Amino acid sequence: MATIKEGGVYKVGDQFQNAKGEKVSAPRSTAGAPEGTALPDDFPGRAKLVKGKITTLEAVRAAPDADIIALDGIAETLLQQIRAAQGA
Amino acid sequence: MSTTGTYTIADLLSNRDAAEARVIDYTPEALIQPLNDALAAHNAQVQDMMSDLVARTTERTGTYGVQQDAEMVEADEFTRAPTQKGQAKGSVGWPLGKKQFALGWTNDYFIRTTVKDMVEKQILAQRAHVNALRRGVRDALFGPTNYTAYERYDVEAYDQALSIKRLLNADGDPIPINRNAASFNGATHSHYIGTTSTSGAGLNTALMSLVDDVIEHDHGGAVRIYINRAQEATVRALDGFTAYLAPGIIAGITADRAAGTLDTTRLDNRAIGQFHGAEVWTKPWMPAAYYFAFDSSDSRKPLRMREPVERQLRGLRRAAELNTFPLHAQYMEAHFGFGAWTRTNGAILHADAGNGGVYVAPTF
Repeated sequence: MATIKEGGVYKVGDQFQNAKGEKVSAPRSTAGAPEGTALPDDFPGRAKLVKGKITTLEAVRAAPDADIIALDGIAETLLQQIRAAQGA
Repeated sequence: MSTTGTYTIADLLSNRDAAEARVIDYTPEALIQPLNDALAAHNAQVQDMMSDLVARTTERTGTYGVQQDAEMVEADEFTRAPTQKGQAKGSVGWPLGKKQFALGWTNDYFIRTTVKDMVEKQILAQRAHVNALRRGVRDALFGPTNYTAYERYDVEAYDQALSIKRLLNADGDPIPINRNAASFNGATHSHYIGTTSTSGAGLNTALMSLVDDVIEHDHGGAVRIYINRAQEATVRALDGFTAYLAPGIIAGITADRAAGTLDTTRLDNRAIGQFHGAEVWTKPWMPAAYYFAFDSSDSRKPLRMREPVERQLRGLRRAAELNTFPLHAQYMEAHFGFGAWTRTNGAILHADAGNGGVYVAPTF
């Protein structure tokens, strides 16, 4: 599984920098497979959920509507599709 | 009947006697016109080459990223709803610099030089101009961190600090909500993405996410993915990819095929197929292991190229020592600078097993 790091930190030359070009420490990594059923490739809003660190069906079911809508790029219409696809 | 047409550099080079003749034996008027015509054609051509990615401007700064969201208030007969304000705005700047190509001749050389030598110098200068523009576009696109440039060519704003931005890079600037009223967090939302997956299902997922990154900001007219030719085989093997067929090949009746034809006359600047609705192109200027997605049909281009306000200073030009004697020039010059404009219309993926999932800025 690809190692995912926090956004907004980049490697420029030998340094890690933030978006403003300021030197920062290396970002934390979250390697390894999470417990639960991974979201299928065709799951609605999969990319946005994964970006928001919601990567399993169990996590989708457990997350309140407000938490999912708070993720970048998810509004009411997509939330309804997610809820319809998440199953019992 | 004599043939008609316009004298061009090609005529000068093909006419061996004229090509070997010395410049000093001709009147300047006989030589300057085809040279200037070739320069004008070159300048028009380079603008056309960049037109899918770059819009032109003479402005120093612009506003970007106005947040527009509001709510209506429940009211009765006597309610006076409070005024809603505080639309956050971001800004973008575009630098202006000058590049020179030295023609570098002494007076002795100029007296002895041939027409062919002069023409070849201009062709070399045109090549250098293309290289400089290419480097400018790549630096503006692939660099993930903002920087400050200082105004040096606008007398009225001399020494003004210009904030040169990139595509969305989680710098905290506001990001417009999309047409579905979805919002984005400017402090965490980045279009510079790193992945350790370089092939197969992992890369397939990362590329799908890359395309989504562009479309979710209402840039969905004609999304393209640009890749280096070194990634062509990898992309062709992805589950989400459907290839264009070469002319003369007819797909099997049950086989999927993309609606397009493979250009077999070139290898490193052609559309090779479709990936989840985005057209995949190989491009010679793309660095290896990077994937760039953007909407090529949107008039809101990812970059802007700033040019001087003075028309005479735009494009590649001969910087004559005296304007009445344009051939007497030590340098050819071009004034330009690149910066991000529509920061949402573009996303870049760096796929490398050794990058630890962090986007690494390429070096050119």
